Amino acid sequence: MNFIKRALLSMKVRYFRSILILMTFIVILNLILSGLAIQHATEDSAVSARKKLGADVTLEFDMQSAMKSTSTEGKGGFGRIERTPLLVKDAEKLTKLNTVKSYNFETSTFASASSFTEIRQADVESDSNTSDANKGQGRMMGGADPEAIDVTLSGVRELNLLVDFTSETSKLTDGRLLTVDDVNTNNVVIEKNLAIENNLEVGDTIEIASIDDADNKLSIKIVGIYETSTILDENMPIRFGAANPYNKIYVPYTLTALVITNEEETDASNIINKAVYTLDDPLNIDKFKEEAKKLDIDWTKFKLDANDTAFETMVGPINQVANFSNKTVVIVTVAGALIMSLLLFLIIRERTQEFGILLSLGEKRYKIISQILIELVLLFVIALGISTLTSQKMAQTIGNQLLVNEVQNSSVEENGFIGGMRGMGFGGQGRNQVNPIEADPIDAINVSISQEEWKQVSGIGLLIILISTIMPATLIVRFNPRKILTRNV
Amino acid sequence: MNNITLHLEDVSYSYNEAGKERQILNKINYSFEEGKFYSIVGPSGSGKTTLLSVISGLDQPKQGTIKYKDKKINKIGLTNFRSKYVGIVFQSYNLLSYMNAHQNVKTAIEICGVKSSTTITNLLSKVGINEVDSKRNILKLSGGQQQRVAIARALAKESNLLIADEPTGNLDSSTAQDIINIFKKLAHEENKCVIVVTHSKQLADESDVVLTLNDGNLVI
Ligand SMILES: Nc1ncnc2c1ncn2[C@@H]1O[C@H](COP(=O)(O)OP(=O)(O)O)[C@@H](O)[C@H]1O
Ligand SMILES: [Mg+2]
Repeated sequence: MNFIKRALLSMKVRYFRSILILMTFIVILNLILSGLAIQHATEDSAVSARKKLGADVTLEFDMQSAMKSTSTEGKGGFGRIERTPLLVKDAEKLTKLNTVKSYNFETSTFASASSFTEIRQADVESDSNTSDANKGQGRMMGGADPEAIDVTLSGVRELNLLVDFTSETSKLTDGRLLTVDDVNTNNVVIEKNLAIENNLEVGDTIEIASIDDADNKLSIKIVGIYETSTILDENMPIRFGAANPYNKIYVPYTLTALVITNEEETDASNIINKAVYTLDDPLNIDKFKEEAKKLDIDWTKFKLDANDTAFETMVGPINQVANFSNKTVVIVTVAGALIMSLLLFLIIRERTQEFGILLSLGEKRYKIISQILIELVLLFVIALGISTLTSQKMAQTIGNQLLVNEVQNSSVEENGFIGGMRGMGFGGQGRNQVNPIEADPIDAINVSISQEEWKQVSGIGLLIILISTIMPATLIVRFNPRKILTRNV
Repeated sequence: MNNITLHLEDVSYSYNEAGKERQILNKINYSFEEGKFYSIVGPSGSGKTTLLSVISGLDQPKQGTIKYKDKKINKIGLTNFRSKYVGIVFQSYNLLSYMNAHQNVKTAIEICGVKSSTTITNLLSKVGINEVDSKRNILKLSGGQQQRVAIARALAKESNLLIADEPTGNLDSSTAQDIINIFKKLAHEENKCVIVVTHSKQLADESDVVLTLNDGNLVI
């Protein structure tokens, strides 16, 4: 019988022992593979969360850190926060990064309608309380007459990149959208209802004026008409025309400065509210942020946000599971390796006599070691096959359970926290606070193990078997057969 | 004159016990010939097993040379020597327990690498193991049967040299007699050199040459 046949015969005849070894391998492999599978699934989930949230990164004034530093300096209330203007030239620095696919600049301001009439809610619903409310709101808007705040000018660099259009809450019905070529022009896109109400068409020119100075007028040219699906909250009384989505006019970002007559912001044409960078891949967000931080921008005042709060909410529980599974994988792998080594050592010791007999028959040492290797590797391969199937189920069950626990644990704290943040987030004047993606924690993972990891486990397992077999077996067979047979080894 | 199969020249062996050399074999010179049945006797602990281990290539002498048909067995290579030129029978049989008789013999043949001129079944029947028993797991056979299988295995390589260490030590006297008869036949009919260490007077009496190991010396 050659050593290969001997290996097979030995496994078959000593089937009880084979099964025991097999089961040990299966248990260890299942633990390691499940751990890895869960780990992998958590990584996948984080990736898909990123993908779901898109590849947009926003550069804007960091209100939170401003509030924090104001309150720590003891200067008191939110009213004292001064927005540091975001300069176009700063925002343009980031556009040079090679992860940026396209970008948009956004500004926003209010204006008065001069040559046309804004859509008024009063047209629909006349309520005597409305005018009182308007007055109250007006005072908050910096002293301007609320009657003058007729329209919102939403300044952009490329209108098709604006979330209103990417999310299709606004759709072009006539003409065209604003592009880079419209920067520094007076071309605008108005809402369908506003157009109908005023008998306006693409190509028409209308006039707007500054809300602070009715004499500061500006002619704008309609190049496109859009329709919005945004519906006014009927419970919320419209206090001024600009709050009505029909009265939103999309303009080049350079245009908003023209209707601002605030002495402090003389070079307003160089200022934007925020810059939105669309990256080539959502997974490059971290890389982009890292590179951006090296640029000469005052990062104490500005922040890059890639829907980070939503991302954290989504992946928070997943990360907890990942944390746990990472530790588990390490522990289980180390323990598994030790147990396997010990088991193999015992198995080989137990076969000392057999080695002695084969040596006494003149069998070559490498063939003796090969025989035992074949047996153990074969059992390992079978165990690997079985474990690959069973670990999937096991990991899915464990992974889901872990995740459900984490989601339940986190939902209480997270909800409270985010609620608070959101309230504060509305501090920015006239800002487009668009949050089109609901950020629910990910509560299901799709457990699977990558080929790479599977190969790693197989590789490491095989390596352990090779080392733990060859080492003690070599130690034994290097003695002469007499010593081995008299158990003096 | 018979051909010399195994030649011992100044063969010595000693154990190192607690820093002290303990001489077991002391410059032994002897030539074993084909067609003879040798028995080696001597008190327990006199070094019989040590001597057999050395001449069968299971261990190396501390000094001296052993030649198999004029070739130093070290030159042949001990593993090679064991696989092709010497059949060894142990007191404790030393059969592979996960195999049947047939497979045990087959293993030896494959390790030897030389095609046997006779079938395994023939080899086994020569030592009195029938076909049915040859297919049973080795541990299900009696001690006597196991020793017969061990002898068949030793014969499988068709070497001239058969070395056995107390082969009848664990057997009852009638079974022992059967084994002795096999050895005798092998020496006298198949011209093999059979060297057997024994405690048994019965075995020694039937051998051609009785050697006594005493104080590390081999004397007739
Ligand atoms: N591995 C060993 N280490 C030390 N002494 C040993 C060893 N093996 C055998 N001996 C000693 O060598 C002597 C000869 O042993 P052995 O050849 O087995 O004798 P026998 O077979 O004649 O009974 C004994 O005294 C024994 O105690
Ligand atoms: Mg002995």
